[in-house]
Amino acid sequence: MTSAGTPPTIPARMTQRLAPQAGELIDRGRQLTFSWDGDRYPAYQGDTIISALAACGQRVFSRSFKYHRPRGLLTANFSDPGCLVQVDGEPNVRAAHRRVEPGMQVRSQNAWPSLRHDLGAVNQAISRLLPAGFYYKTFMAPRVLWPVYQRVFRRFAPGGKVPRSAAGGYYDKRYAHPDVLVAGGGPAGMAAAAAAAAAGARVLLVEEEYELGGHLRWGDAAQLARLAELRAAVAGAPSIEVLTNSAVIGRYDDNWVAVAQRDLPHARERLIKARADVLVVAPGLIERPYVFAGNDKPGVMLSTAVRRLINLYAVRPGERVVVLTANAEGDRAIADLERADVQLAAVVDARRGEDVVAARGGGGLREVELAGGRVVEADLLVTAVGWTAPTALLNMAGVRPAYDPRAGRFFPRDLPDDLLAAGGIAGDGTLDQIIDHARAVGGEAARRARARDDRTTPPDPLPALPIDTAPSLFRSSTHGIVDYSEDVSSKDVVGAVREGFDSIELAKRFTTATMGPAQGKLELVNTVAVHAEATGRDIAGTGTTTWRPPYAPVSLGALAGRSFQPVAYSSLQPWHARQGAKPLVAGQWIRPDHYGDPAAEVRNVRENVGIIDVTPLGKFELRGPDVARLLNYLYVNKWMKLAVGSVRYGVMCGQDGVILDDGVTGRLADDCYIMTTTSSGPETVWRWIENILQTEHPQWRIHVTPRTSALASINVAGPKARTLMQRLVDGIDLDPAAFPYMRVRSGAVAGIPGCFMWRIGFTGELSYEIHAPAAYGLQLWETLLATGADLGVAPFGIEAQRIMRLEKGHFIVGQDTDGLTQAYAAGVGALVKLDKEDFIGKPELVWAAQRDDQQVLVGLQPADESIVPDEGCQIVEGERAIVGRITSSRLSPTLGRSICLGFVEPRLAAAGTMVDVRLVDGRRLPVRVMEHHAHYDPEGLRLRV
Amino acid sequence: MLLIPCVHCGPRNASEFAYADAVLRTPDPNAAPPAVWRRYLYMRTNPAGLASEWWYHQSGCRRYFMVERDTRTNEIRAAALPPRPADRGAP
Amino acid sequence: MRGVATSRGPIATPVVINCTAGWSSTVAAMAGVELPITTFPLQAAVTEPVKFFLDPVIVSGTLHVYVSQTARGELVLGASVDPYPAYSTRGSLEFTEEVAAHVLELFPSLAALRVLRQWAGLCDMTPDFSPILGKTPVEGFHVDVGWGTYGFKAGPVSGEAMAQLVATGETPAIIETFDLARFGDGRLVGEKGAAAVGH
Repeated sequence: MTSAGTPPTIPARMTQRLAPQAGELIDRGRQLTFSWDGDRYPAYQGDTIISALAACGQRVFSRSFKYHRPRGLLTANFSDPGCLVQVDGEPNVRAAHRRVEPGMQVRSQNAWPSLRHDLGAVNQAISRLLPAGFYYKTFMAPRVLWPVYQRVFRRFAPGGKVPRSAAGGYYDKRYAHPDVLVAGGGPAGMAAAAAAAAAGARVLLVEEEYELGGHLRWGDAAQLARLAELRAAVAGAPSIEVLTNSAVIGRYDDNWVAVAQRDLPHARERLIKARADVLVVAPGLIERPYVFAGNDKPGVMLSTAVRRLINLYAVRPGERVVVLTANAEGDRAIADLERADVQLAAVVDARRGEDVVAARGGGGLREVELAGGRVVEADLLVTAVGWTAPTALLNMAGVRPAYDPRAGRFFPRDLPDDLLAAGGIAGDGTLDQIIDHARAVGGEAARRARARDDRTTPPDPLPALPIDTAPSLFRSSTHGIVDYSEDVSSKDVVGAVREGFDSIELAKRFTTATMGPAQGKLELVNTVAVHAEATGRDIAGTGTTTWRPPYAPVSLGALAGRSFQPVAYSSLQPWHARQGAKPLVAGQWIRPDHYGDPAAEVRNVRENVGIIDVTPLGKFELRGPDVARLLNYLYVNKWMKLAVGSVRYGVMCGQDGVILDDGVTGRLADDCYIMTTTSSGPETVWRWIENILQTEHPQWRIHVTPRTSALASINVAGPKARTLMQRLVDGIDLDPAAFPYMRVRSGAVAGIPGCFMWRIGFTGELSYEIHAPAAYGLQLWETLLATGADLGVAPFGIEAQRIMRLEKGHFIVGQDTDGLTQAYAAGVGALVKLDKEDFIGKPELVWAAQRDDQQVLVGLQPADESIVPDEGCQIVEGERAIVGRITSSRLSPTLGRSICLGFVEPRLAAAGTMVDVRLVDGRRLPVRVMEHHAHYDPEGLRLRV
Repeated sequence: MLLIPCVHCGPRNASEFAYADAVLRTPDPNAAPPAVWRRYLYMRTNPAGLASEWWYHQSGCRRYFMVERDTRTNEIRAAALPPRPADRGAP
Repeated sequence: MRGVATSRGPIATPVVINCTAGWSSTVAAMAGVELPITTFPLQAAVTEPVKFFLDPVIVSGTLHVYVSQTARGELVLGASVDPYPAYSTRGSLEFTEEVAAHVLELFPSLAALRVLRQWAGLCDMTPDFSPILGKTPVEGFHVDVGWGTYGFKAGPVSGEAMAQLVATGETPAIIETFDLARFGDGRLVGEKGAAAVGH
């Protein structure tokens, strides 16, 4: 094997590839090429990036986070902390999991300028300056240097590069509704799934690797035969859906289970959201690394890693090996290594009290020191010291697994009825025992799923698996790495305890152990064990840190999926788009802000006539004998005597007297009212009305029908509005005596039946707001434009409307009012009728009427007519006192000056008072408090003509 | 995702619903002094345990109904429609 | 106020400051004090580290999301509080789905970046989104609570003011408007308009 640091021969050759293995996953008939740090490498179809590189003798795949130590293979699967690479534009790719594709461009991370000559490795020399908690301490003083330290950290921050600009790629989502979801496709998961399916359940079986089988895949001939049987059982059950290369990433409330399905033909990743009646957790066990000096040297591997390399990828993991074994898996690894012709330098049997104390070497492993002082030359050290139970999905359901010191791992207990565990996480035993147990679990899962609606069916108890005793091996007599991703050593954990972090949760945050890309899977129990050792407690007493979702990293793309945010357009949208209207996002609606020149649009409305699409106004049809009662209760003003054909403006408050919404409501017929709300208000108002009708006054007979998008709404405004409308109506008398201000009339407009229109005046001009069936909206709009061409009719957008309403001093709820603005403060106190028996907000408004300590809304005009202060600017007094704020501000084309609405303290509200606005650039702008909110036509003569 | 047992539609994802405050007794708006009214407006028992609350099936049948939920575990014990007018006395 | 009982024994003291987040109303109830507080989970998530590219903290009030990159290279993602009150800190998938969608609207090129961890903390929300500071009807039982989703920046000065209150018995002017009595008096503080994620 080439030693680390030697450039590959070009082209690289698969010098470490073994003869064909019984369970190998590679297809020797299909060779391909990819690049690693710019050099070309061969691989077989089915190779992972790392297995292909290891087959060519490569041993160093990254540099560690803090000390930039060389890192190689450790676990040879998704969790391998030293095998994160950049693939094309994708950072942090799990190279011991991701399969090689032809032409893939793979680069190492965390190495600068290169993996072989890494300048950051100087951190190793100064590692005394970088102990755990170094963020919190070392660089805190002197504080002035923090920005410098921060820049240094940033240079050496781990991880790959985010592409500067790239299409995000395609991601997707899917829902699933399995009766039983089995997390883990090893022997237990397969057996449980098959049994559940046989009992009639629809099953979703999720496996993180590319094929079902778990550890059976690298087993002997007998195990491979069992694997084939189990796979056949799964394949033969049509009600099992198998997802491979997919991870169950979280279990949320009510068995809402998230699955990340990776590398689909059409999507990089897909998030599957499954509502599972029963979740069976069968993830197997994770082999635990051993803590000793040099345990992160390239060449130190777990027994499962070498078994994967040899059996699945036919890669010879080294030349000369020392094996530290404490269990059968270690013993089997010895057999595999001998078969792979690796020279067995020493077997260290922990069950006989033997131990490894140090691994040494420059770039990679050269020698191993055993307890007792014997030093053995080796380039490979394999450890098999025990297992971690990945209980994350159980913990996410609120289960607190218990530590069993005899077995040296955590076991589930007190599972809720919709959660079951199978396989190694539940206990030990022979393969037959585990499969029998899993079958029982699967059958019971199916039974519980069936019985879910029938709560009277009690869950059946399940058989228990035996639990083997295992030596408690966590750390040797030396200190080593506990968290490979974060470069945290056992010494750091001991140091944290010495500094007083005697709770494991606090020590975790201080050292950052378990917080890196391996997410605690490899390092959690060792961290807990070292912490327990340092505090003198046992592991059970120390507890564990919380396993938080996601169990496996999941892409932002999959979590986001495709965007399904609905967008609302009025039926006039095609016309607006053709005219190049500038779109404005207003809640869900996209509507025209203007058609090029808002000031010109204002002038045209003031001088001629303009039309605006106001379809987004919230509209409700209220029918029934008690509508007037509802309105009277909902609004602060009176509604009992609104005559048919009349329209009234209303302000709606919450129970705290704060303005919720406003709008006009008209009575079209005896028992039919149309209520309008602000464009952003319909959902809130509807919810509010339903609340009243369902919980407070269920005896009121009222039907509420939303009509917002069923009606196209067009406001025709300007001094020539009547002339225009006269050309279009038939049978509606537009004479001001017959159809005055604040009245509503129904009939045909432009030949369109079923319209109604009312005279109101948000713009301050004579105006008719026409509501027509939405399908006729475009026809009505185009007819208005064609018919009024000689009158100068032109469309206007939201910006022109906002200018005109500000000229008229009308407030906008949510812009000129906020979460504390009561009706009196907004200047609509005259509307509030405190003599009504009851209405929403009455108590607070009764008290508000007697108060004079609340800021009030006033019209404001800057002394300098050309300066338009930004909305949100504060009104100040002296150096520090804030005495008000600007809520709306525009340049008025009609008046040729800047105009505003704003809040001021009541003592400053008298007309003529001068106050100072603090502009964004710090200048003070004197503004005058006006007598009216309205800057233009305060008497409202123009709209009443 | 929590399942909310709508009294009308059956269990549905919580994303279809809007939480609509704790179930409260409204004081007489014409008689309550400020202290009593504002206690009703602002004070909540905020239990770490069983809470009685209003939920609104906003993206479904639009029913308001009462739910007993354990705020520590999100376990829902009961759901019921509000009492009918007959149970509430005269309008 | 005579003292407190703790899991490690009783402590006699004439003054207690309740500065517990998440559980402030539960603790206040022990002293017989009612607080206008509802507890909501606030969630956050962190991605795998990537090379440094983002210097400022990006906050969008429209998207209700914030993104910042730590010195370690991780992106920290957050949004506003959960839609219903709870004392559960287990977190939800909806949160990560929503925050991911909003982050990708800001940074489409981050789609391949992976979320490593999500978590939740408890936030004490007040009716006006402002903290409650100072005396309570129980002599010697003071509160510094209700900071909601913020308080990192104002926390230290509030502690100083509370120390002054304890030392002098007088409420310092800087926290006067944040008193508990404001809710009964209808003197709410105008912070409600401030987006929770804006802090």
